Amino acid sequence: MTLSFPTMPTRSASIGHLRHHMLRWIVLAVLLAALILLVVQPLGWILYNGLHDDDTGLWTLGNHRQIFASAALMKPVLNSLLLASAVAVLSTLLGVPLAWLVARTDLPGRGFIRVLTLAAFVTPSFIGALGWILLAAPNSGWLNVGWRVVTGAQAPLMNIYTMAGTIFVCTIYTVPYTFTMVSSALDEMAVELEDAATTLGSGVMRTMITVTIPLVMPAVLVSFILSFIQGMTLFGVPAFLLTPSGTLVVTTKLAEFYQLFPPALFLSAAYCLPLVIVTGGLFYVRHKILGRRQFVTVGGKGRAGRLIRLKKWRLPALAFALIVPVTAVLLPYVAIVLVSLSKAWGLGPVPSNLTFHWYRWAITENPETQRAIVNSLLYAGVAASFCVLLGVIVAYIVERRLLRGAGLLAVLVTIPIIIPGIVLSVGFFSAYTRPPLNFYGTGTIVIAAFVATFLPIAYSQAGSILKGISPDLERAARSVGASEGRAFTAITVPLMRGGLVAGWLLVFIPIMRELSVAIFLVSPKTNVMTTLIYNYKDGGNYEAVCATSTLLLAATLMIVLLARFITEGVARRRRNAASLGEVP
Amino acid sequence: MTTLNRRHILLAGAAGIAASAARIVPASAADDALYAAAKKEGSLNLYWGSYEQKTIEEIRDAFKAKYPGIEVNLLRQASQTVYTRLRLEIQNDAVQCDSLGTTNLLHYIDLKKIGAIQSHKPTNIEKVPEAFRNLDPDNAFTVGAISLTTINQSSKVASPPKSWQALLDAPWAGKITTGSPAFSGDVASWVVAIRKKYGDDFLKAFAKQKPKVGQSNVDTVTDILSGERSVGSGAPFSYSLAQKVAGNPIDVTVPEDGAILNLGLAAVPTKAPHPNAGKLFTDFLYSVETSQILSKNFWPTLRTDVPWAEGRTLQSIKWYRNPVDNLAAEVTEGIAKWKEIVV
Amino acid sequence: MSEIHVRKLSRSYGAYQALKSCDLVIPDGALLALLGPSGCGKSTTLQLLAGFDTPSSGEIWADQELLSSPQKVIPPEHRGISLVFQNYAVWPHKTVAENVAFGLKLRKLSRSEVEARLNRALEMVRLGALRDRYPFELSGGQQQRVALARALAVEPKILLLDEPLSNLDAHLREEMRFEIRRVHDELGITTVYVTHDQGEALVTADKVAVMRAGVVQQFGSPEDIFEKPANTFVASFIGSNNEIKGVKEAGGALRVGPTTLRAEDRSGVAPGQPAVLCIRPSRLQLCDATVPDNRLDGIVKRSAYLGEYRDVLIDLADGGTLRAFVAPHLRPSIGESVSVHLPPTACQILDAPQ
Repeated sequence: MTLSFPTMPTRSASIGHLRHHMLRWIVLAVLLAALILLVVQPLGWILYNGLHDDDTGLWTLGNHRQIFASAALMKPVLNSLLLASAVAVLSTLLGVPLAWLVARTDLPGRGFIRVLTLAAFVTPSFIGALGWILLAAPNSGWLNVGWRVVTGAQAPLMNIYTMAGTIFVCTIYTVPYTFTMVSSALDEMAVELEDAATTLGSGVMRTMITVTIPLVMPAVLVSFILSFIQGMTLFGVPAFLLTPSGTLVVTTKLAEFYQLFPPALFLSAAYCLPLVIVTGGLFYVRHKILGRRQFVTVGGKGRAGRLIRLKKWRLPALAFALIVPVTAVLLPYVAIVLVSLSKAWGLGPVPSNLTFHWYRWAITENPETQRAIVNSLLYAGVAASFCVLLGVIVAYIVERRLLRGAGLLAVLVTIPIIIPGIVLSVGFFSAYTRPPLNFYGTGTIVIAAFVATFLPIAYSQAGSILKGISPDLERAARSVGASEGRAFTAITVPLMRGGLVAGWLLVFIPIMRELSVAIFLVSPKTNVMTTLIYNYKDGGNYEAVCATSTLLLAATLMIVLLARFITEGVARRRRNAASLGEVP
Repeated sequence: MTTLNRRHILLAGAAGIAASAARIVPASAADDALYAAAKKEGSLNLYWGSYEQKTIEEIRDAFKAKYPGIEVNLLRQASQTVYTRLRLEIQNDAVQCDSLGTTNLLHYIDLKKIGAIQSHKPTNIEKVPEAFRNLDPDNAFTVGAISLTTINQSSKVASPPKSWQALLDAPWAGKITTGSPAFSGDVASWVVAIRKKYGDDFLKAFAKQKPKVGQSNVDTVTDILSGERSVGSGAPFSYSLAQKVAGNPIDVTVPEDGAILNLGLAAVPTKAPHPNAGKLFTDFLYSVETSQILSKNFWPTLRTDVPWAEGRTLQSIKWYRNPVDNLAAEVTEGIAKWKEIVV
Repeated sequence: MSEIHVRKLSRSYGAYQALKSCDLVIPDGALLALLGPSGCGKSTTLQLLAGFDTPSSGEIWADQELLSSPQKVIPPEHRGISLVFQNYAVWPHKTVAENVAFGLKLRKLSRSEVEARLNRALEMVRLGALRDRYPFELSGGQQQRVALARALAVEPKILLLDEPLSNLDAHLREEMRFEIRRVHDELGITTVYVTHDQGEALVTADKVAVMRAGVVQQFGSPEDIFEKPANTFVASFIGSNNEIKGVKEAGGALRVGPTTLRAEDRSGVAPGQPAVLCIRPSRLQLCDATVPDNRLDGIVKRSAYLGEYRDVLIDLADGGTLRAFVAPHLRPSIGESVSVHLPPTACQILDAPQ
């Protein structure tokens, strides 16, 4: 055999070396600029605001002192901690087994459960809380009315206006985070790892507990933390469900700050500090737990899928798997859809009260809702794409340790998620209304705020996918001549693809349902559906609230299904091409 | 919109609105100059928290119909939100608001103090009920909305409480729903007024009735319609009536010891990008068209010559308005007492 | 087809020194095995050679070009070095052909040239028939061949193999050893082969570097390493070995209790100091108790029949044990007194291990 050498001339090595570093620095510079604009600047403003007095506008530490010294201000923090911890634990207990059942077993109706769990995800939790008020208010809730009729009891079956009720509602709308993150990790995982345990005589349950779950631990931990943060930052649910008992949590207390005259904007910026501390602690614990353990589940070896047979456990498992779809989607949406189809919802669901008026109004008659639907879809789509792009690049730098101090980058992109939306909203306002960055009133400022707010989710998702992809796969590409960038685009990105679609949805969906961060940033032309829905709610127009909420759900689900359809279509085409023996 | 509109119009007719007033009145000479200037500016950004989405949209649409050539952008958010936003805009020197309409007088006193709103005397202000005509000697702000806080109740309630005092009677224990003064300006006004009238004893007795406390006063309607509670205290008058007309089983009782009247205000920011358009909109608030829209939506009208829906008038109702002096401190104290005594 | 010079190469991770001042010269076209237990620094060396890691000090040169120094590392893709990974690192989303052709396509070769080189590489590892399979449809050995073909297709100047056979079953491993050597002989690419398996190293390599705790213990031909181990670590890591402790005497002898054993002295130890005598079990001979020189006596403790030889463990009279591989027809029984002759040419005196 004759071989021609050298393929890479010696002299070009040094030039390539230079080019390699140039590219690296350009990417880094662009990334840093983006992060400074999107994250550092607004956060800087929040920090700056927190250090100023609301009345005098002077520098002070008084806000922070007041928060930690005042029982009235610490109590909501403790309530939030209780709520968030309970939500995180319950979401994990419900979400992880649910993900396993759907991803790994022959559970009947898996596709249906997947779609409904996504629908729960799509539902803004304040809508869910409204639905549950209709279902479980102590006197009028349909479930309680039914319970009284059936049992003749006086006391209600349940009272949604309690901490337990609030935890319940927050949990069922948070489980989808856990579900999506863990099930996409399971989808990516090599089945041999489980088979290995099974062949050693380990039972199905044992394998799940000792092999599968520990292997998806990064995803479980990330979703645990996200659930905790959800519990900390949700506003609508505690606002509706805890106000009657006078129980305040951080977000409702913040809302009070904004209701004060004059609004205590600087105090509310400072009020985020306890949240940041707690969440920082959580991420530290996660780091300690995961440490340097390796979670490479996609090695260089191929994988094939097989489903675990549940046999006699099929029905009990199905009952368990239906908890979230039924409580988060079916029941509340029955209530919501019935209201949306009413002429006057107080008359109840009787035939003479039925109308499609509110849908017709929202879709064909009212330019506000039409524009808001388009804006919501457009902004969420654009913002989710940017989020994933940035998140993947940052995660790649952090996971592959391309930079000294990459950990700092990780911290930076993670902070926004813990800051309640309304405070972020003020931060973005300050950051983007002064020249040369005056985007006020444009879609850009709304998109930028969405990108920054949800960057942590995109980053965590990308990070847990990357943890599962062996760096050797990239190194193999480097060693046959691919540049760092080429290895990334040709090897890493395609391998991440399934997870990235999940990641994109994981960002797209919360953007669709996000309310608070947009509140000071939207303009009449850039209004989104949630702000509009909240206005209708504010005006007491529940028929419109419910109709537009149903439309929001439909629009989001449409995009979600479309995204799945396209990616699965691509995967199938590749498979077919392979089986036909073509080399694409 | 067909069902609702038709019913509204029928009612409006029954209310006896003069046929002549129903037509669009030609703009006056002064209006012409202002319109020309506003038209040159080309657009108008409304930041409004007074009136719910539907009513303010109808007012906007009528304005657009009357003054073509001006693009109107309506930002309808809660009063405190639009106010906070304007303050942020002022802070960052990026004012976009041409007309601020909120339900809190304190907002305007504060904005005037820092010179952030400009003086404008509407040409047609003399049509406004006298009591609300000269709110500010410098005309930095004028009335934008009249909001009444009353009792509302389920249609199933045969003999509703006739007064605030009557709410403390035994039959209403466990039946009352109300909003929170910490979240709703109207409820805060009610708390200030009731403390002035009856002192903290009222709040103590009220707390014993175990009311359900929601956020907004709109939540009283929700609780009544759903059947969770049957009587609303500190309830929105206009909104309850609008729900009633929409067919919902609810009605309103104006308490004998006085409905609480709270004014919404309107002003044009000093740095408004389209000040003339903003002023033109202020003037439009006192037009017949606006008052007709208000009447149709069960809001008190802003003109003495346009009666309210169902023939009500300002004179036919016993009302009380909190004095302006020391209002800020009274609100703060009222909220604190409420939290201490009620929830 | 490059001569590689590694000069005083070190790599530390914090306080941990993974590689300590390593010097190696790999002649053009040679196959070098880096041999040692896990944690010995062999993989670190490989990562440094491949350009995935930056040395803390020292340099790597290929021909006249500086590849790595603490200041500058030419990135992996510009070094002309291909690496085959222990876990194969075959891309699961690409077919066999796509895996192998990936590196070729990066080189802006003509379509026909890519096809030609792809076919050549696939033929080389005998995978032509499986070119359109996805990795999950392949056995471990086949995936290993894909990895090898992928590395070879780009015709590297230097080929690095990181424990390439450790995930294969014993039978396949044996076959692949020769396969790798055959491919190397056909192409003559300078190759560095990392392994912890001495058998693999001896069969495939021209030169072997035995490493331990970040330090090269010995660098030489397989025969050198086996026949003349530099120290007791090398002696016992490569093949089986007996170590007999004693005190060195002048003129190539070691005193063990009352006995003096003559041996080649390769130690740096002064007479009177403790030293160690090493001898391979296969070089020991059972003998009569009358043999005068270099004889030790003991009792058979264990005897195992291994087909090609018998593995006998002997408790020495003077303490310690000896392992001897004897012809299978000899059947010393357990408890029997035996004498063992240690031919002086097979004995080496080395420094006592620290």
